[in-house]
Amino acid sequence: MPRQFYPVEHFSVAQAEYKLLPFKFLKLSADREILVNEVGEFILAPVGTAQRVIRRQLDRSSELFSTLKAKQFLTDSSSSALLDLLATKYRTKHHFLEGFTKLHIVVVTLRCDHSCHYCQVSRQTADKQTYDMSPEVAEKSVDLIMQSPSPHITLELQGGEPLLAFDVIQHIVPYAKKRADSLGKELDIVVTTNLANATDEMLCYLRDEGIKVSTSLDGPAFIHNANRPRPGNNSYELTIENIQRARTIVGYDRVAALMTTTQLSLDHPKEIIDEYVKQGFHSIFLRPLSPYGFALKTKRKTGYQLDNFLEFYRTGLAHILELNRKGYDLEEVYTKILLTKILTPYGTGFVDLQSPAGAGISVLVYNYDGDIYATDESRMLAEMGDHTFRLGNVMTSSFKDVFTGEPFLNLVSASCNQSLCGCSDCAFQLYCGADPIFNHATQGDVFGHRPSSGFCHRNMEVIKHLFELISTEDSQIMRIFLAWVQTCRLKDLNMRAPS
Amino acid sequence: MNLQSEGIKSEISTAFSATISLSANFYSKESLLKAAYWLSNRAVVHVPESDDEKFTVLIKLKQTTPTLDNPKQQNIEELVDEFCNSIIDFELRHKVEIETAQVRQIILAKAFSESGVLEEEPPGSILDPVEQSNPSNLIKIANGPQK
Repeated sequence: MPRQFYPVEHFSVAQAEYKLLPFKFLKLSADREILVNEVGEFILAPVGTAQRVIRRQLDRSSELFSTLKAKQFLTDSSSSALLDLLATKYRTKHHFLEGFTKLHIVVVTLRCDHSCHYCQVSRQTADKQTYDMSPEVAEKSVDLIMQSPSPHITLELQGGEPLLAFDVIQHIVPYAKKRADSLGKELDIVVTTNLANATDEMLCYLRDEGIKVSTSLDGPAFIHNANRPRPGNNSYELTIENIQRARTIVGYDRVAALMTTTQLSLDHPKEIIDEYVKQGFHSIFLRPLSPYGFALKTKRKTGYQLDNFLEFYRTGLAHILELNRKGYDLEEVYTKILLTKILTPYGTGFVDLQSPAGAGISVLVYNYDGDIYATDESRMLAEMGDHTFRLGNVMTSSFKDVFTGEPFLNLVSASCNQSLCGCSDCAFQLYCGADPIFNHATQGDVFGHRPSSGFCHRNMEVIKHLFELISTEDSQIMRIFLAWVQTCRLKDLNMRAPS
Repeated sequence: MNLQSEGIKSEISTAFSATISLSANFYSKESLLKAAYWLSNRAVVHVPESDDEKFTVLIKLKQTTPTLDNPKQQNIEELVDEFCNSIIDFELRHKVEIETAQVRQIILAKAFSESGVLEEEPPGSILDPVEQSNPSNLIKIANGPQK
C-alpha cells in the first residue's frame, strides 16, 4: 500500500487554529504579567498577553507564539501537544511524593537548659523520668518509622535539648540502624542541638555513628544572647566555641546552623549574614518566626508585621547576592528552594512548602511520650492544649491507624493547594504549597482564608521578588541563582545564563 | 460616579459602598465569586439578585475609619476598580480551565498511571487527543495498544 502524506496546506500556519494547554497567569506589576503552565514553566510578558492568547489574538508569526508553543502553553495542528512529555514533567515535579514519609522527627526529651521566649515546648527541669523518652517508646517509634515505604529514611533527633538525654540517643541510634539494615533501607541521622552540653565524648559518638549536627546561630552575640537566654547569658560564646569543636571532631561539613528570626533580628539582616560568613558557613536560612505556641502568646516580644519580615528578607538577599559577587559562596535556603521549583524541572522535599502539604505525608513527629504529630508545629499546638493534629500514639496505634484516622484525613482534606480557594487559580501554585496547620493555628480552620493569610502574603511577595531578580538585566544574579540550584560554586558554574 | 466597561456598570453609592452590575453574557457566577473572594478581607460583598441577563453586586467596606492595625483607609473606588479588573482575569482563567479541563485530566492521569493509585479509568482517551482530533483521510500514526 503506497504511503500518503499530509498535503502542504496541512502545515500552513495561517490556517491553524490553536488549542490551549493548561496554564495560569498573574499580573506582576503595572506592565508585566507571568504565565505559568501546568508543569511550572513560565513566560514573563507584557500585561494583556494572557488575554491575547486566550482570545486567539496572537500574531502566529511572532516569537511569542513560537515560545508559547515550545514551552507547551498551546498547541496547533503543526505541533503535537506531546502530552506524554507534559505528564513526565508533571511527575518529575512531584517526585518528592514517591516513597511517602521520609523525614521522621523524634523528640527524645523536652528538657532544655535554655529559656528562649519563642520556644513552645521546652522544659527547664531535671526531671528525667517525666520528660525523657523511654526505651520502649523509642523502640516503638522506630518500629513505626521503619514501616514507611520510603527506601531512604531521615531520622532527626531533637528536643528540648537532645544531648541532655544522651542515653536515649545511644539507645535509639543502634536500634534504628539495626532495623534499617534488616529492611535494606538507607538511614540518615541528624541531631538538632544547641551544643551547649556537648562533651568531646558525645561528639566522638556522633562522628563514629555518622550523625550530622544541626545547631542554632541567630546572629552576632547581641542578637543570639538576647534570643536565647540561659544561665550566664553566654549562649553565643558557647555556641561558637562548640561549633568549632564539633567541626573538628564530627567534620567541618557535617555541622549546619539554623537561625530564628525575632523582632530584634529584623533590623540587622546584614549583621546576621556577616556572622554566618565569619563562622565559615556557606548556607543561611532567613526563616520567619513560626506563629505557634509561646511565640503566639509572647507576640509583643517577638511578634512583628509580616511586611517587616519581607523587608528583612529582601535586604538580606541583596546582601547575600553582593557577597556572592565578591567571591564568597553563600546561599539562602528558602530562595534556593523556590528557585529549584522555578528554574529546574524538579520539585523539592522541603516539607513546609509543598502540595500536598508535607504534614504527615512527608514528615512525622514522635513526641517523648509516644504521641505522633503531623509536624513539629502540631506538637507545639498540642503543648498549648490543641490536640487537633495528634495522629496517634506509638504504643497503641498501627501505621494504618495513623494514616486512616480522622485527624490525618482532616489534615489532607486541606493539603492540596490545587483545590484550595484562592490557590486553585494562582499562577504560583506549583512553586508554593499548602499549610493546613498554619491555617488552623492562625485562622481557625485547616482551609484558611487566602486574602488575609500570612502564608499566602509572604510567599506571593517572595516569589514576585524572585521574578523581579530573575528578569533583571544584571546577568550575574542569574548566574548566582543557577549556581545555587545546581549546588555548585559560582566559579564552577559551567553554563551561560539565559539572555 | 459611574463607570462602564465591557459588560460592567458600577456606581459608587456612598464613600463606603458601591453597586456593580455585571452582564451574564460576559461573566460567569464562578468568576464573580472568585473576584468577590479576594475582596473579602476588606469588604462585604452581597449578590442580592441575579437573572439570566445580569448579576447585581453590592460592595461595602468593612473598615470605615483608619485603625492602628490598618492605618490606611481603603478607598471604595480603588476597590471597585480592583474588582472589575479581577473579574475580567477570572473570566479568562475560567475559559482556560473549561477549554483545558480534559487535557489536564489526561496529563495527570498519565503522570500518575504508573503509581497504581487510580481507582478508576480516567475519562477520555489516554492517547494524544490532538492527533486523534485531526480529521484527515491520510495515514495517521497508529494508536498504541488499547488498555
